Amino acid sequence: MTNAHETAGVVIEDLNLSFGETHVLKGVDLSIKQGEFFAFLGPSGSGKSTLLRAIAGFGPTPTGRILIQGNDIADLPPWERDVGMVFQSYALWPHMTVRKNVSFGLEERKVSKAQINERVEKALDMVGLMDLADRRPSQLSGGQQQRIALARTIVIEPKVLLLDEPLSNLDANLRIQMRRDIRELQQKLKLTTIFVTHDQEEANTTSDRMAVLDQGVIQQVGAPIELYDKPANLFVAKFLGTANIIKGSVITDESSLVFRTDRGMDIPLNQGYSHGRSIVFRPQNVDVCAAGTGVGEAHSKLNGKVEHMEFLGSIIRYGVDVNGDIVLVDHAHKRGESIFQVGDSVDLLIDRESILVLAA
Amino acid sequence: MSLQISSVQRGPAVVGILIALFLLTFLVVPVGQVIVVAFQDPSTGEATIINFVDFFRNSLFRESFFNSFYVASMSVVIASIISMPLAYFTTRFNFGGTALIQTLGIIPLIMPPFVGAVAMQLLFGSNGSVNLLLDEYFGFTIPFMEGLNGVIFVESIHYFPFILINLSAALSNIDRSMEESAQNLGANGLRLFRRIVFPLAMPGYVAGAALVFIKVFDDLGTPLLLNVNTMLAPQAYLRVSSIGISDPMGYVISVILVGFSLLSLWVSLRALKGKDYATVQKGGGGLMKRDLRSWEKVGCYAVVVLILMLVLSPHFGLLLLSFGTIWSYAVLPDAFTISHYITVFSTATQYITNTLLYAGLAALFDVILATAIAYVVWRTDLVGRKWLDYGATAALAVPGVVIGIGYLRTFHSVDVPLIDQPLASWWVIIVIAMTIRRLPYALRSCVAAIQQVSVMLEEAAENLGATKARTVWRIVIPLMSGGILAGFVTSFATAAVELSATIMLVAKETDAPLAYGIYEFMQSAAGRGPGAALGVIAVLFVGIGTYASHLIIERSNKARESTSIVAEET
Amino acid sequence: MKKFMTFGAVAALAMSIVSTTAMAAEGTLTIVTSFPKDLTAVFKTAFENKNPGLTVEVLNKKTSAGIKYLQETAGSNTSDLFWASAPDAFEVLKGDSLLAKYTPMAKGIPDKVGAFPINDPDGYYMGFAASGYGIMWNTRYTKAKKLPVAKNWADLKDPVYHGHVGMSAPSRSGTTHLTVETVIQGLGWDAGWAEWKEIAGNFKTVTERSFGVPDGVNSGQFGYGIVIDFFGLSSMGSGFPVDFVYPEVTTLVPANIGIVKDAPNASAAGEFIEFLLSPEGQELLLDPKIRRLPVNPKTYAKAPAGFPNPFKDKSIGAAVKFDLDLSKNRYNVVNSLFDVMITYRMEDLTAATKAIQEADAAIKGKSNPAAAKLIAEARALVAKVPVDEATAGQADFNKIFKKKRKKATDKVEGRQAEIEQEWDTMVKANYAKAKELAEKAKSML
Repeated sequence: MTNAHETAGVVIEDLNLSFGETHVLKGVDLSIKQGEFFAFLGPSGSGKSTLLRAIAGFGPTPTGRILIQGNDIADLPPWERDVGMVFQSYALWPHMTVRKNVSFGLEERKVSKAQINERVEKALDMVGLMDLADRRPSQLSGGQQQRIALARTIVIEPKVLLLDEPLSNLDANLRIQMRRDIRELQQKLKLTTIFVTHDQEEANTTSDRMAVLDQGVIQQVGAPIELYDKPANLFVAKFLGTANIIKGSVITDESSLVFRTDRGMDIPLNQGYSHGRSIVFRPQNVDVCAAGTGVGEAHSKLNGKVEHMEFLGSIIRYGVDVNGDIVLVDHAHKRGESIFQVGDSVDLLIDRESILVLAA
Repeated sequence: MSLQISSVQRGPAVVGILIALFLLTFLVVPVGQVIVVAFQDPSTGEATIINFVDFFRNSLFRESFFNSFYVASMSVVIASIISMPLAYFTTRFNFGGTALIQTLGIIPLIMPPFVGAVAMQLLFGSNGSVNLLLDEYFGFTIPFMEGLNGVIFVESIHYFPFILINLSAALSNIDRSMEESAQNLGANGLRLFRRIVFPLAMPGYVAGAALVFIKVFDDLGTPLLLNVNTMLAPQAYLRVSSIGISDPMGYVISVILVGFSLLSLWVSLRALKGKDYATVQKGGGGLMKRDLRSWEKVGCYAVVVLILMLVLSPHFGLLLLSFGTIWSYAVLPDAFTISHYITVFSTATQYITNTLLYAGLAALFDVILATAIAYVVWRTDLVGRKWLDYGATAALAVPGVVIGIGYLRTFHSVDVPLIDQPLASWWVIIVIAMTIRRLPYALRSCVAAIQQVSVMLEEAAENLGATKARTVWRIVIPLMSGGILAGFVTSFATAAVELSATIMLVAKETDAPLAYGIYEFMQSAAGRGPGAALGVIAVLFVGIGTYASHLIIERSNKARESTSIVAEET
Repeated sequence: MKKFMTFGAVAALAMSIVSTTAMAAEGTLTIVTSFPKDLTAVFKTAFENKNPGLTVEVLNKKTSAGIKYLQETAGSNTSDLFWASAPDAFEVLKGDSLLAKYTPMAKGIPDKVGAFPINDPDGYYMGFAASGYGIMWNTRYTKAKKLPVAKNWADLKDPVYHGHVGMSAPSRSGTTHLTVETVIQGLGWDAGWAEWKEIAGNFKTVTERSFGVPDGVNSGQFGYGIVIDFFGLSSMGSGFPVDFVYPEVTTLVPANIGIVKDAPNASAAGEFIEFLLSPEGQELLLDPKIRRLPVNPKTYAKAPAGFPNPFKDKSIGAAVKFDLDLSKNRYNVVNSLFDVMITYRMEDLTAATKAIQEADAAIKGKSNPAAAKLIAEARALVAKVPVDEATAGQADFNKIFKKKRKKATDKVEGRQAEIEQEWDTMVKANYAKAKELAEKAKSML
């Protein structure tokens, strides 16, 4: 397994897929760069697994194009696509030893016996399980099975690596370790990888870029931090982390830009928006202080009453009633600092830079 | 392990001992006798293998041995050939006829093979309906029923459901990801089948095939009615009935039959052990299904219909025979009449009433024994209780012929008090034979039922003052009722058509049950019609019984799902 | 309430068990018989109707099984009557002192039918019906296959019948045994066996029970069957497309009934015999399902047209004077010989016969002494019997063939299995050689 192996970029054009009457993937357009670690993130039922499986060639035939290295593979059967897939249940064959499992793909490619042995050893070595080569899958732990499944796929040096929720069956500690290992492996091999998960933390920590899906439609594509800081719509905003969302409309004065909430409050905005239906800002971008504090240009001030308070260890989360809307505020907890109680009147200072106006 | 039995355990201990005595007397001892006699010199009584030597030196017996083996193996092969396309259609395609195939899988089992054998002879014999037509229009005939072929043909059509059901279950239990991951790595078509699908389905298939093998190997009724005597079971019967229970050959054959039964059972169990390849993941279990193109659909339905016709032919033939006047060298009977049914209902009702009595009693004894064994084995920790389960289940390995011979030998000199008759010719012995033979099935049913009753329910009753006996009566048995009832019905339905042991134990015509009546009728020219009529009645018994059992289990399952009280604990 | 019902159920169960068996005690007549239901049911019903309060219990057993049964239960006998076809079976029982003497009061029964005495001169068993043996055929079958009617045993040797004939084995059927013995007595030991072998060469099957033959002919499985007459006649009576004929070499043998020694209900047993021999009972024999020849000549007045009458037609059964003692002495040997030479080697025999028949057809009209010699040799090999008549009749030799070996000294003569194995080897080799020779002869023509 050399580092010089060429992996491919994946381009998906206008992909539509239906299960019977149900339209599951709707007009998906996506471009994944060569060597990228790309995540499909979304709630269950969003179509992320379906999309992944469609790339591998499983499930109903979609319309549209799937290009790998410029070649449309949409009409090819799964066994001719050369995209390696690791299944959620690992799918190791119980009637074969680990070694036989891993050499399967190479045997299908008619690689010589000597070559097979060499490559299998390398692959097992890479996942650190050389000494388990002659065991049966039933004798392995969950984490070990997962790594064998991985080895089985990378040994064939596929153009693209697909991982379908590979960590969801592992316990918490193992998960963290494994996602690091997978990331490390991927970097080493410079293998274009698509990783499906419903866990934001996994997507955030491992991927170069990710796509958020909801109900078969791609909501937004970009680097994790980009999606987090600049969500393109309400769904992304709500799905990634916690968000404060207030509905209203943009009012333009000659000099200033204000967002008038539906309940009648005015929140000053930075320039650049002409219209919008909601504003979005994160709890950690709001500062809470006693009522009556002054405010500068960089912040927009709101006033309200503490409705609830939760101690979360490193942060205190306040829910502040501002004119009928509950605004969540995350305040870093430092020892000795006073904590506001329920019923206290407080001022909220929102970092104006961080307020996003969304059209919907 | 101390043998002290606490007062709590005393009741179950007594029950356990009684059951053990029953099993000993009516299973272990007779079969043991048979084995012992096989190894005894008939004149001196000393231990010897001379009987076996004689057996294998005699070319007729060697031939019988080989024939039995050949017939059983070929039946497995033909049954597999019938099952494979059907299993393939249901698990590989979105095939609309799946429900039809499932029905196909049940129809053969409601007719015991020997009942349909005579009808098959008329339909498929060398001058039977099919061959007459073939000869007339195409100028050739097919020797469906010549000699051993007849036995193979009838048995395959009867037993293929065992393989179909097992194979389908095995295939549909294969996790789809097994297949997909192989495809992902480049495998397809035959290679995929050979390397992944087939090995994973093998254990289920082997279990089914072993079962078919042994059932055909042991079957007495079918070869007897087809006049094929150079096979082991008929030879044993003939030796004992024409030469007497002192003839060692009958015992030698019995030992061989039991030996092979045990072997097959062992193979079947081993195949399934630890090879539970079923896992469930998203995307569904089972292989990937695809839709059928229209010409493929036609092909599939054609195959299914052909097999359906084959499967229904004994039923059809039997029906024709029961309503036909004369059927000789013709495609169909000359004319139709209901006189045979009238004959049956006016002169032969004792067969039906006897059967109701015997099968009813046998089923009753079975569920009582099975419930008791299930309780003792799964709810107490008495020493050696597992042996009750093993003992009762061991009856599976004993062919009916052997039970018959064993009982004749063991009990012919035992006189029953009060009625002054040897036990071996008292009708109750037939009931006992049926009880022993059906017990394993009833036991499985009751064990499944008791495993679904949480122990806590019993503990709650005992906590509130009920003794073990009361708890069993008021709590356990009612909660097991679905399984018990299903066990009763299945026992009844299969005991009603038992022939192998019955034919050896029936002493008087008035004591004869249905199966024997059918056999008797088929022995006379004018008796074919009434015999077939009886056969139809027998099929109805079994069919209704099977259906009722199915309904009862479904209903009790539904009831279980809706009660939230019963915790799923074992 | 529940308890009461449970108790009631258990009590009812117990009572039914006892009562079903208790019913057997009084007013029962137990008959051990090899006759089929078709016959026994008719007589049972009629007799029970005449004697309300009496139940007739029929124990259906094949002749040899019936003999065995009576021998085994002799110590605590529960049977009243033994009712079967073969007189030699009765001789066996008579010899074992298992029968009781009885003098029937019925009138009108002659001394002989054909050449055979109807009753046992010592009075232990009586004949109630007579039967002969003959050939039965399926008219549809013969018409469809354009086969000629066979009138005599010798006819059945004709190659045209190859694969169309069925028969039972003497070991499995008392009546078949009599048929075989009749031909052997009629033609002589060697010639008789040769005849049988040539006929057997045309066999399709040897059936397990004598009924298997008429059954096969009735259903059209094979065209011709060698059967006892009532099988043929009753099949015709039941409407099957079959016909029946008596060959010249046949004998009429009575079917018999005898009272078992120490019968529990001897009086009822005697009454049953009287019933059988009464005009009413004799008429029952004409029932289409039964069709046996009554022993009371007057009954034939009521018979349907075409029904054979041995008292009028003297040709039936006159050809052979059946020697019962001879038959008895070699009973077991004949059984074993037939089985070993014919039943179990049927394929070899029919193959050899076919080869000989083909060679015969080839040599027709030509003169080829070498070939003819080969064919004759082949024939002789097929016909060869491993035991001569004298040995076959010896008591000690016959004892070997009793499956129950009582003394260790019997082993000295060779166990039955051993001897049969010897015969089998010889016979198999002979058939194979015969086939070879015949094929060789054919190739020369």
